[in-house]
Amino acid sequence: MSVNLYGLGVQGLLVAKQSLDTVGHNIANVNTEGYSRQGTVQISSGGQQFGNGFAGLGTQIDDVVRSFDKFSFVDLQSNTSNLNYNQFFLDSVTRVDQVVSDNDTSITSILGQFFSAFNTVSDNPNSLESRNHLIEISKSMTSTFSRLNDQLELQYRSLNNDVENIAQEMTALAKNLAETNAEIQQVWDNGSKHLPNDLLDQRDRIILEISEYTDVSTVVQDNGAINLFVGTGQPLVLGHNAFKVEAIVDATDNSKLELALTSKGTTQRLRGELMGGKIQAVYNFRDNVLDTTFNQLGQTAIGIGHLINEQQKQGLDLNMQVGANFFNDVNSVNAMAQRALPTDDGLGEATLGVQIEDVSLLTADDFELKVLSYAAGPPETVQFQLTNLGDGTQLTLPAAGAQDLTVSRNIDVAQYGFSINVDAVSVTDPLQVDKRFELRPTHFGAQRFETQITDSSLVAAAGNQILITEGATNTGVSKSRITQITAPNDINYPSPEDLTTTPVTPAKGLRIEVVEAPLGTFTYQVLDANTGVPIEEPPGTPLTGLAFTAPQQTISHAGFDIEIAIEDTAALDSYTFTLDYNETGAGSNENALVMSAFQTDKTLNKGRSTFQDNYALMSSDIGTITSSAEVRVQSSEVLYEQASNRVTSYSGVNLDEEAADLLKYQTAYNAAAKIVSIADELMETLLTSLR
Amino acid sequence: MRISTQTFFQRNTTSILESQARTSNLNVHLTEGKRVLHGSDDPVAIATIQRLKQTISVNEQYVKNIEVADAANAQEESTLGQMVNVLQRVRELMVSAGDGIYSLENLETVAQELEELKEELVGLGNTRDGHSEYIFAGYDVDTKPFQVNEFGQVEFLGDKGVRELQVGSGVDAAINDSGFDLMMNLSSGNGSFKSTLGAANTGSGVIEQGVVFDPAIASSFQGEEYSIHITEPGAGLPTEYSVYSIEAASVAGAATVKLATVDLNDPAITSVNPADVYPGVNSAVNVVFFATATPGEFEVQINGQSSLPTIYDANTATAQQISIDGMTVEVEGIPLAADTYQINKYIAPTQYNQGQSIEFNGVRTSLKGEPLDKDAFTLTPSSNTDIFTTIQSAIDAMRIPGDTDTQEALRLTRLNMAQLELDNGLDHIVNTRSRVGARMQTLISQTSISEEFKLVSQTAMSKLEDLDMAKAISDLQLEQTKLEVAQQTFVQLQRLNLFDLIR
Repeated sequence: MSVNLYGLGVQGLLVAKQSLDTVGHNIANVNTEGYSRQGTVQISSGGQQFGNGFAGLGTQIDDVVRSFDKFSFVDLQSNTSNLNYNQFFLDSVTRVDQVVSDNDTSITSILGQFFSAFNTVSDNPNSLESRNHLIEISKSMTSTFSRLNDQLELQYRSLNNDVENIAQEMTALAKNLAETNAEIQQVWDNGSKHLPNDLLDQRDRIILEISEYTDVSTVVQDNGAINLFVGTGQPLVLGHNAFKVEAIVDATDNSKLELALTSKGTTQRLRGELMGGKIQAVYNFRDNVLDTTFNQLGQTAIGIGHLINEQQKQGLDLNMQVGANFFNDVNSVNAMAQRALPTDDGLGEATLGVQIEDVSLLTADDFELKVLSYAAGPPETVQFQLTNLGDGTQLTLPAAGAQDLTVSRNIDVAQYGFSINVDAVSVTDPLQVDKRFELRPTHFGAQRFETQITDSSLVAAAGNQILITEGATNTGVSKSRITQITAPNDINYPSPEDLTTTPVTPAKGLRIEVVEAPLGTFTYQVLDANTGVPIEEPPGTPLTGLAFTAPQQTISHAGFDIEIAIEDTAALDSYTFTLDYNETGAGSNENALVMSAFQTDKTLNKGRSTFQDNYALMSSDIGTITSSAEVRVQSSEVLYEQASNRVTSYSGVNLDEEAADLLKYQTAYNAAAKIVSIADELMETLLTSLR
Repeated sequence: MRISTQTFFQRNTTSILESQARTSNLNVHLTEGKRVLHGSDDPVAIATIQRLKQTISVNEQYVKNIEVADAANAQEESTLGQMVNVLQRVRELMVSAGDGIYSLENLETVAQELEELKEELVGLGNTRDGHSEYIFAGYDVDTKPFQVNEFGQVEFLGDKGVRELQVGSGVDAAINDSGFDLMMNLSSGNGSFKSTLGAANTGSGVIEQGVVFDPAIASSFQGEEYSIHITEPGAGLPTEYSVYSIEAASVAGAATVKLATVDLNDPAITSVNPADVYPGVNSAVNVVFFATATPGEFEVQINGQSSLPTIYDANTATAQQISIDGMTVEVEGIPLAADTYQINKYIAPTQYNQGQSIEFNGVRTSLKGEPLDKDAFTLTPSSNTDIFTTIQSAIDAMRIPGDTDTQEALRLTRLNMAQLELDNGLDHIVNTRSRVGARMQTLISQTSISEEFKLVSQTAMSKLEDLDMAKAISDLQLEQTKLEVAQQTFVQLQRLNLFDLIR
């Protein structure tokens, strides 16, 4: 009987010892990340039937289990990816916010200085100092634009690094997870049918790490292994097989890296914008914030560049010649080609260009251009569908039907202020239906922004000597400008009224008439505006019935060149242009006044914004995104903390609790030892009595 | 709820870190003194702040432009003041010379002073500003605008450009006036007619200025050059005057034709003299040019009566008189064949009374003194002249030699005309000066508007952008207190440990 008591005592000792070990393990791991508190499951060993009932057989440890709540853990997973999404997004957008709105890096003050310098030129148009000052300030303005652009570019490139790092990290984590799965499965399969607590903790840690990058969902298999799916359900780990995550180059924009899942030679592109976690933050920031910022900055730069350049051509420089470009030409061949990116989809090859037409209609949107039809012909025809990626609006181009490219290779997109040049289509690999292009009219505006003028005498501050009035009855849209003054002493050159002669010599002007008759054939004549009689050049040859090539031609008569562009409407067209003498000279500031007024003119966004407004709009947009990201980070931090607290309230180690357990099991151990000692005493008593 | 030991430590650390971050953020805003540093601090305010910055810089620019405009206008104003002084002296001299009490020597002295004053005026017209630019040259700022040519005439070589500066939102202010408008764009005579004496006058008759008293009627005779002709019909008979005019009827050439004298005592006069007076049917005769075999030489016919053998020779550059039957025309320049001028007769010979007013076609004038037979007095429609020519004509008048009554009459008429022109020119400059004054007034009011705008914008910007220091400092102290509390609680709480009690 006391043999049984011995046994009971020893069992109690062993059980208490094992529980104390577990407590010790807990205390030792109090600071281990992701460690779940373990506890012994102590059960009674049952009883043995005697005649008068059951005698207890003592105790035993059934299992050592970890405190773990599956639901809290899943909650923590989703909050981890949410927090990381918001955190990463906020960090990225804060950098943009700081450069665009900081007083030292923003364009606000340099833009003011630029126009201030223009004002100084209009104060003293004849002074080379004020002109040189303008050019220096202008250089510093364009470099402020490109510095800002460089900052954004730098972030864009660092996002590519992030994509590569994410791919490597995720691949490594997936591999680890698969290996851990294999180990757990092995333990299970060995027949123990017990789960290794510490390996489970390790696996959960890996899952949380993956959650930082993306949303994850897990499915536990019967054998203890786990299948892990990322994003919207793409498998990353299946049992002990792991997929690889790779960074691949975007099909349209080869400066952009994207993520893909690969396994056994197949590659599946991941839709990062839906994946949650850091990955979604990278995609969202890059596609929504950064691209829009590039575009808005470019829109402002193109606006300034194009308007000042066009106005330069309306005036005369110090050499009394028509002004040349002040900034780089926004419609240079390279700039136009850069704005149209073909998608690498194997559906033919073509070179397209995007030409800026009207900066007031230009938006900061990107566009997708899709081929609806193409015929190599003859006649060669093409029709596109244009989708505004900003708001999803779709247009058919041209709306009237496929465009005959032998007539014009230029397709106007009037409502967005640009046109598309179909420069060349490959003969061997012609365009096929659904071929896509991405159009970015404004993206590179700031990158290319440059002060081209170096000789300050070329600033066209003076008004032009010839003033053009386009006829009120012109049948379509017409554009005209004087491109060169070759011989202001020509007998037919417009001249002012001369009061000193008797009788007074009236002002002399010219009228150019462009007439269409029959349809498609244009002729022009140059008339004396006073008499309506064609002028003669050379004497005896009246300038009438001369061929005009629509839609645009430069004609040279009477000592100047004039560029005339007309719109060939369906009807018989007629256009008139009246040319009058305008007083000008080195001291004239007529044109400089117009250019300095651009500071306050609402020239962008359909006449709603000045240059500064457009920039302010951009910094305000980014400010809004940043401050709302701040709020989201704060709330997701709170949510994360709550989820994390819930998990640790189940699984975390509390030292006070462990101290209590320590005392509890120590007492139990002492008591069990007492049982042994009493059993010993009993045995002693018995043996002594028998002696 | 169970709190794991790790959570306990983490929570305390987090709250201390957060508090530190807030303190540091407050610190940055405090040192910059700004509430809004970046867009995220207040996305709506940042756009307004940037716009206000632009408004401020634009208004600062306006003020700068105003300074430039004000300096230019002030210089112009003072130059115009000096011009007015010079011209007033010129006027005084002309008036005193016109009194008829100066001797020829005295007149020469006056003429010399006038010459100096004219030069001074040219000098003032060529005034330059601080950038060495000519202020009255229009846009042609590097060209000396008033220059004396080889004939001693002052020419204007600038242009009519008027430079404007933007001095306010939608307000442009001119900073110069062209010398052309200032001194070169005057009307001759009194603005309607210039009175002159016939070159061959022998009497002492003087003509007053021709005044338009009925513009409605006068305007329908625009462009006609009137002349009053004196006839002495015979001994004992009173002197008579008659009024004619000459105008271009059909002219392609570039000649000027004047009616020089009418000799009503000429026996053949009826063949060229209109028989009737306007509006009668035969109140006009034609003067027609016909080509001859020699290029440049023309036969002239009045009312069909030929001038031959006398011809008009356009190859010589002087005015020539052609007399046909008592009617003498003076021709200058190059006519073309078939050019036709028309002589009209308005008043038939009427008795002349000294000082009486003579009225025709809405125009009134009068003759004084004693004109003699064949004397002529002309009212030429006003044309363009300039202030230098005016002064020169006064100088020339003073230097007319001799002091017979005829010469006195010529001198007086010319001085009279020069004085009218000068008054006209002086008015012009005085008006310009008051315009400049008005411009400077505008500039002053624009300055205060711009300054006001700037101040309002700065105030608005300060409200949006600047930090409320008192609040920020108290926030900072509150945050510091929170931080200290967090740190102390942490230290206190972590001492409560069961292990410390197990001995």
